[in-house]
Amino acid sequence: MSVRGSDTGAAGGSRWRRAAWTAGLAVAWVAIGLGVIRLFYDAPPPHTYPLLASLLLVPVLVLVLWSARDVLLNLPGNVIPYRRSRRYRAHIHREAYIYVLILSVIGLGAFFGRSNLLLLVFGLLAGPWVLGGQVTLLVLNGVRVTRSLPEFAAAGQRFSIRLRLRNRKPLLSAWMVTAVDTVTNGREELHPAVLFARVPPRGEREAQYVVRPGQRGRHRLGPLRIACAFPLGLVERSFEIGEVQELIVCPRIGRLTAQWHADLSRDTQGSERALAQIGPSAEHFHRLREYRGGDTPRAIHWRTTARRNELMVREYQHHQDPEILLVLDLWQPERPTPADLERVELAVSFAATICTEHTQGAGGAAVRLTVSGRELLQLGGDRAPPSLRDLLEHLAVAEAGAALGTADALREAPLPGSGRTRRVLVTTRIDRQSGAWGDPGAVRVVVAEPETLRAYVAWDQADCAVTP
Amino acid sequence: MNLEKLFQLSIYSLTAISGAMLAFGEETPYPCGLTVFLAVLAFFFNERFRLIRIPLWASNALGLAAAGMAVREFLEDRPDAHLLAGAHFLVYLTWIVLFQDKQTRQYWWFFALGLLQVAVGAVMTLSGWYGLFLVMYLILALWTMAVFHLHQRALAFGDSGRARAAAPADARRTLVEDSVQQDIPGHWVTWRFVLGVFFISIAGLSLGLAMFLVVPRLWLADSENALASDIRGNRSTTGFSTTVTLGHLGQILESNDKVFELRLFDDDSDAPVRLDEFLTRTGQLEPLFRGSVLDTYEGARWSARRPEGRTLRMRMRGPERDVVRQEYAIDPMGSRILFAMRPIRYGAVTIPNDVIDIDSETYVLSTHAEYQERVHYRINTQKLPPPPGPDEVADRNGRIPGRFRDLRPPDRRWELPYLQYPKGLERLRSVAIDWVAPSRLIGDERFSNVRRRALTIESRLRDSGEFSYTLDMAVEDPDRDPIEDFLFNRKKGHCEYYASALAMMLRAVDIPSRLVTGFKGADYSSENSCYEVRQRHAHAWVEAWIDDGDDHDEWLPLDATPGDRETSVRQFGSNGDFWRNAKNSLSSFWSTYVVSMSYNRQKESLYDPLAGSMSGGFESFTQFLQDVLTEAKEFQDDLIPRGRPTAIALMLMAGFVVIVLVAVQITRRGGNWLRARRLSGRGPSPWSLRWRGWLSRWAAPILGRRVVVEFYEQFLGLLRLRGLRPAGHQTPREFARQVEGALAGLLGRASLATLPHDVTDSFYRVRFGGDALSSAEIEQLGERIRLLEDALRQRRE
Repeated sequence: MSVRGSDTGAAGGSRWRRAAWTAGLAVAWVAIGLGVIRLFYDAPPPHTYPLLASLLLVPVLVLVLWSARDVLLNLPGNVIPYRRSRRYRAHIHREAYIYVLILSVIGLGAFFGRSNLLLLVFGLLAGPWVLGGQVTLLVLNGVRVTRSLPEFAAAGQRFSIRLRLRNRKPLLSAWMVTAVDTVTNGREELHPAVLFARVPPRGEREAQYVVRPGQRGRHRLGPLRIACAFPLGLVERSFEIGEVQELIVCPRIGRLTAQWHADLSRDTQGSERALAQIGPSAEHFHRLREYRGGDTPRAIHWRTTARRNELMVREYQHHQDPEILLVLDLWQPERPTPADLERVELAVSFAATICTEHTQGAGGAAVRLTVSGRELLQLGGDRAPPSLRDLLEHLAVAEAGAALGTADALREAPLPGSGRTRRVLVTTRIDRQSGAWGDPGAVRVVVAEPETLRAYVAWDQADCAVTP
Repeated sequence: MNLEKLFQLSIYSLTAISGAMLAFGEETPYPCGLTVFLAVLAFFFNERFRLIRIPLWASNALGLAAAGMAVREFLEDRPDAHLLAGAHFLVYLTWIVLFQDKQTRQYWWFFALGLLQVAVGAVMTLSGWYGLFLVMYLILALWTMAVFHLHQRALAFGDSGRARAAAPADARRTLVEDSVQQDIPGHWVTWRFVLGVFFISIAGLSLGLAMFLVVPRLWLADSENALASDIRGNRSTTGFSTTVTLGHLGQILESNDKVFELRLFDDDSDAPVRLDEFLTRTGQLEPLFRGSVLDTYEGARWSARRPEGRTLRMRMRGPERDVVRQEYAIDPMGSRILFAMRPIRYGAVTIPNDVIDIDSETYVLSTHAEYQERVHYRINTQKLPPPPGPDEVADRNGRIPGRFRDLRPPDRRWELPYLQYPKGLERLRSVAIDWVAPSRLIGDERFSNVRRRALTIESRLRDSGEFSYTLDMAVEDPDRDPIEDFLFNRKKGHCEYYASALAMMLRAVDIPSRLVTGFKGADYSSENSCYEVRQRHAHAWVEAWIDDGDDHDEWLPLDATPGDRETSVRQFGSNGDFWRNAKNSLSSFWSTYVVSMSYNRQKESLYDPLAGSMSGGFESFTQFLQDVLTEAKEFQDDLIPRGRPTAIALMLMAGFVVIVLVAVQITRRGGNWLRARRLSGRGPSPWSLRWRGWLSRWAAPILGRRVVVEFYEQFLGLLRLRGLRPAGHQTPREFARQVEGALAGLLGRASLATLPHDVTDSFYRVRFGGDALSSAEIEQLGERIRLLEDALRQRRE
């Protein structure tokens, strides 16, 4: 959902290449100077050569100083930041060792057996081996890969990470380049990969790999390893793009059931009135339902009536007090069992579902959130109600603990803005005898037990870890 | 074609070709040639239809059987049994793998076994065709490896969309799915790929060839003197070595390389003497330049095993009458051997403090030390006798018995080596005895019986038409001694075979004989006014000790090689049609720079010219530096009289330093800055936009009527750097909608959601409505475009 990037390493140009450029430029200056002199003077004017010598010597001096600087910066313990050159790594496959072994046997056989023809075989095998390595490096040279993250990601939902490979080489295509990403979330490490079959010179291609995160929380993406073994497939050369991005994966989001809405409505006296009507006073279309006696005929929805062969009417709903004060009591014992952990996840997921449905539903309810886990967290409070983005983001990283008891958590929660404000406590505490409940008062209390939640929320089976 | 099928076709073809090449090297189709048939069989019935498969236990059993057969071949009493056993073992293993269930490992086995077979094949032959096959094989091998790589990658990513998890399936686990980016999905082998692999193959093989040429031939065998042994080994058939293996002369005979030059003079008058004139006076038909003399034949190999004779030192004397002086110029061969035509008396070399040694037994000429650079030496003949009288009878070769007796008779104690007769040549002995039956003897009856027997065998081999001349080295019966294989099976061969057969047959009838290697024939070079002897003149012949029992005892040179040899040598040296010349050139190149490549040849053709050009370049550079220093000194004297620099000198120096530094930095940094700016996605600077606008307006009358609206250009410029460009078919409004969709999130966060639409509207007003925006509107649009630029930059960062 929220994307943050941090650059932990940079792929810079080779210092030797830069040095060579400088030397080349210096020589070019000298050559230009010589050319100009030759062009205009048959006999060079006096002191021409010393001038040229100066031109030649100064860049040399610069080069020496520059190299010394690079050496100093590369010394261990150096703390001065500077851009490091791209470092290629080689992964030699087992077949490559066998190739080299055969090559060695043939080479030794040629020299011991004094056989020129065997030496020819050796040479003709060694040439492609050497060139193949160079071609692999050339393919990787000038390749840049960038990663684009989605705007939103939730546990149990598939999303794509787009990788864009840009081949900056003017002539050579990038063949069979693999971009291997690293996805970690503290408990797992995965390496999704994308194979770019061919990217033309000065071209770029985009591909994507799919991730279905199993858990909410912070996910690190990176570093990216760009690898290539083309053309022989014996030695794989690779380099790393150290850029690490962070993706916050929201909790699993389900659908609230009708019973939840019904129970919540009961909690709020006279807060809700639903009737089938039509006209300027109607605020929000609620649903289509069967015709009942007393409904105005103008509310009949004829198209649906014709399709279902029974009278159907449009029902509109008025919301009088949409605010919800949600208290999430994420308690877990010091040594949690898997069931405890599961309960925490269910509670967070249920809270995220409430936030999503109530803020995005027809009434557009405001949700204020108080989370009591490892630490107390309040969203909303006295200020304007938080956005859904903020709510989900905080739920994604909420950790269980025992910062406060339930009663304290309820006390810390903001006071109801009006009599129609609904207060909901979602708790992982199941032991009433412990006294941790305190006195919840007029609060809808939901214990995060699978059996309880089954009545209130439904998770999509395909994306759901545990269906309560 | 399907990638998998293409790969299978390639790898099976490769395996078949490696078997065929080994069969070519072994010069017999069985067993290696059978690989071709089995590869075709395996491709269809194992790989495609999956009808024949060898289970693992059967593979192991067959592997053991193959090892057993290889061991049996290894223990056979044949000169090349060890090599053949290894080669055949590779072939048997290939057959087994061909019919195994195929996994990746089996395909790599194909590569490894194929390469080893090709390498072993290279040891068995010297043919130029093998070189051609080798190049073709390696191109196919590289192609197959590239396709294999594609195939492996396609398999790894084949089930794109297949989910992978960090642990066994569990809904709490994260799943990821890999993917493949292809312009045309499933289309792996494109013409670009084919061309790319082909060029890489050609470049790789060229690099390999360069490595082959550059690697110094300092062989590891014979560590006592690797350099000399190298040359001896490579020139084994041209008189430089004390060993000669039958069959290795063929490639030398196809080389046009010059070995030495010869000039003949009358020693007394220093007048040049023509070679044909010299031959006539000495009773020879062709010039024979003696090199090494070999006496022992064993296992298809001639060697010199007799004890060395006493070394005689030859020194020049004053000019003599009726003596012809042979003046030679020979390039270094890493050897001491020198060549000369009989009759030899004495000589000298131009190496300071060196003389020519002559072996008192064989009369092999050599210098005292190996010569490392071109050597000039002189050989004086014996005093030439007057033309023969009418009563002197010449033999069929035009030679008069006993006319020249320059070589010493064999010492009785050492005569035995010249009669040494190897076991296993019984049929040859009986045939030789049959040939010299009294009724079949040829030659003048005044000749001794010994001489007539020798001439009869020589004539039978050379003139009967039963035997022909060829450079083809095919062996018909590898279990038989090469001489008997030549005499009774093939009946064709080159001079080594004729000379060996003749020598053995002479010994079979108790005539002492020895093999002589050297050169026969020479070309006259009008350009250099000398006779040139080349590799293709290499030859082997026989000297037989004819003990007539009178003054005519002599080492009689006998040459059984048919006249076709001269035709072949001439053809190779002559200018034929284009194809023949091309073939000759290629053969010569193959022979000279591949088969016979030696350290000296590398030095001569590669290292020295390279070193020369480098040292020349270095000299030019040092000369340039010297000029610079001289000028600098004069300049310094002008500017800094008596050690005190003038102000102008200091200013000039500082100026130079500043100019150079600034110039280098501008050139380097400028490029980097432009590149970084382009890549960073930062928009163009205001001045550059202004400049572009001005340029467009200025160029409009020339380039075409294109009305430029500055703010819209600026807007387009920003989007272009983000990779968004209006397509040719898009109207500005359509493009605006595309931008709103593509940058929805970013525009929303920056409260610029309507910017593309607003800018486009304003553009329409100005461009098509002829309207002019108020200054407030322009300012507002500019501000919003700047906000867009900031938002784009922040996103980038």
